[in-house]
Amino acid sequence: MSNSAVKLTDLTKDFGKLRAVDTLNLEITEGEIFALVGPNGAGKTTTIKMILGIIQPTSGEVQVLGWNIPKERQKIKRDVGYLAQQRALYESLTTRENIEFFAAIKGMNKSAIREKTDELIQVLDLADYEKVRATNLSGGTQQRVALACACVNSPRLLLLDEATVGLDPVLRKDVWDYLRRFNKEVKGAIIITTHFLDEADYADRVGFMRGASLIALDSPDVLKKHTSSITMEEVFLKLAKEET
Amino acid sequence: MRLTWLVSKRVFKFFLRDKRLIALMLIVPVVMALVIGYGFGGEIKHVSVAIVNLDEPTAIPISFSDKLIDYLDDKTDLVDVTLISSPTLEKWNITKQAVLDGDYYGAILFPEGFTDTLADRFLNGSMVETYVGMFIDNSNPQISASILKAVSDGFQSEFGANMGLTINTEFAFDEGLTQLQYMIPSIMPFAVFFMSFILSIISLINERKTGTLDLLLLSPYRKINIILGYMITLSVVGLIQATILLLLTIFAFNIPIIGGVGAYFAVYLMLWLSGLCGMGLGFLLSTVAKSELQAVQFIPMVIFTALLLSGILMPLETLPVWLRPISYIIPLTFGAEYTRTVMIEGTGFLWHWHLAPVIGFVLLMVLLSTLTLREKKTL
Repeated sequence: MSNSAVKLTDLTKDFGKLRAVDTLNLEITEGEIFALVGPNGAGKTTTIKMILGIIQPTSGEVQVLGWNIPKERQKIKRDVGYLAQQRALYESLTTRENIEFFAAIKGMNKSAIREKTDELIQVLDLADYEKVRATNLSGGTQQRVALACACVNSPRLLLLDEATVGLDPVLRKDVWDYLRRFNKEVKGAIIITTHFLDEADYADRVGFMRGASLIALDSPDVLKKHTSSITMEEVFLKLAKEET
Repeated sequence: MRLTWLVSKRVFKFFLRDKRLIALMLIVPVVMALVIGYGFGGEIKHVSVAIVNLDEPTAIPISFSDKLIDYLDDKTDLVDVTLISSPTLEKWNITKQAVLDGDYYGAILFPEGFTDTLADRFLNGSMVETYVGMFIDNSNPQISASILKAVSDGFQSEFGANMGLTINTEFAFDEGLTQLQYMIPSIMPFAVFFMSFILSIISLINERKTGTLDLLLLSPYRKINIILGYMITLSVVGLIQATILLLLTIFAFNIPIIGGVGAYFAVYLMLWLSGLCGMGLGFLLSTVAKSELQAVQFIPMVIFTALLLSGILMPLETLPVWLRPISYIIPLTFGAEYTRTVMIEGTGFLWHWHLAPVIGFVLLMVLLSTLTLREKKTL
């Protein structure tokens, strides 16, 4: 029996009159790669930010690695990695400097930082850009650097908000391959949001979000079987039709 | 033409949908106009002056010295008069010391037989002359000019033209300073404050915008470390600025720093603290501002308030009384006064109480910034 990494109970968030997340119930266990899939505005980012304790829920409960969020937020900081939607990097720092900086603020020691940075630069194919400042990198490269920054401390819970946006299909596949490999090593939980429906295939389990609610939750194979679909896109279209 | 209209409409909506920005756009110009208007528009008034009157007329029933004192007291608001009771020559010396100590900006002496001597000249054509003694704090050229003007206006108004007396003016400090030489020592802390403020507010806004602040706040370390990190860097920047400013002061403006090593230490200390004040304020205001555009609105407000209400350009005496409490909230009021005292009066390093409000301001800003620093709550 695996440990629960994230447990959301009746999680709801209103921004004024707008309901961004509606009574979300979800449990993600350590060791799995979970894809939160849905169109823009479905509530994926809000959910991620509530898991991190950045946004306070209007009602409902968040538990991360056994801690109550946002109350015991300080306890999880060492164990989470977060890739924000907007590719948060320091533009004036180089690829290596950025990765090392974000490793250091997680409290890693010097030799571990060096080793891990070298590894990430290799694996994510960043060697050519090691000494290039982030401001001079293309969007796709920035995205991979930001991913490296989020993974560098091998967090037990890795939250990736639109990690593959702006990447071509080959690079997207590479990122997923890396995540697989990462997951084998760390054995933590990875939650990745994406609006690319085909990517849902790569995950262990998929949650489909639409209009602030979770409309389906299962492994890609089961979802395909249930809806007698061939692709995840088909699954989503059928589910969305049922919904309305 | 169509595009122009579309763009204009979009920008208009952008402004109208940001309530805080609208408020800032309305308030900031008013604050600036008020500050600049009152700061620059005023004359130097209500300069405090002590009077030692040894004159006791016996020849005629009126007293010329009293007439002049009445003028200075009631008919001009350039000076505020304090009459020294039971005056003696010894009291005159004590009063001069009080000017040196900064209790008054000037002292006026009417010698014994002032009225009688003048009366003798008018009535009997005597050639004996008398004088009015003045002792003036010339560290601020505008203030000494105000005192001299008040006295000469007084003679003009009460007695008409030349009445055959000399005004013996003594200045408290060796040489009168030019306006520039007077201002530079107090502009230095302002300059460091200004730069640190701009740098911190812009950097913080940038961190917020790119999302790196969120990641910093996800670090297991305490928030205060983020502030301290900025403090260290901006301290170094501040000290470099201080050095450049000092070189400029000494070599370009010919203002020697008297008071030896202690004076340099004192000036560096105050410039460093002024930089931290600016940084802390920038940090705090960056948490209030939600966008770069909002933050930019704070810049002129802070800068003009700091420049005009802290006695840097114009002495505090020029401000309307109701504005003065604001001056005493601004750390630069004390910072400017401190560097001026150290550099012009040559005191060397001094543990002046002026250091306390400046250090207090830095601590307050750090505390408030720690409390308010958090991730943006919206998407």
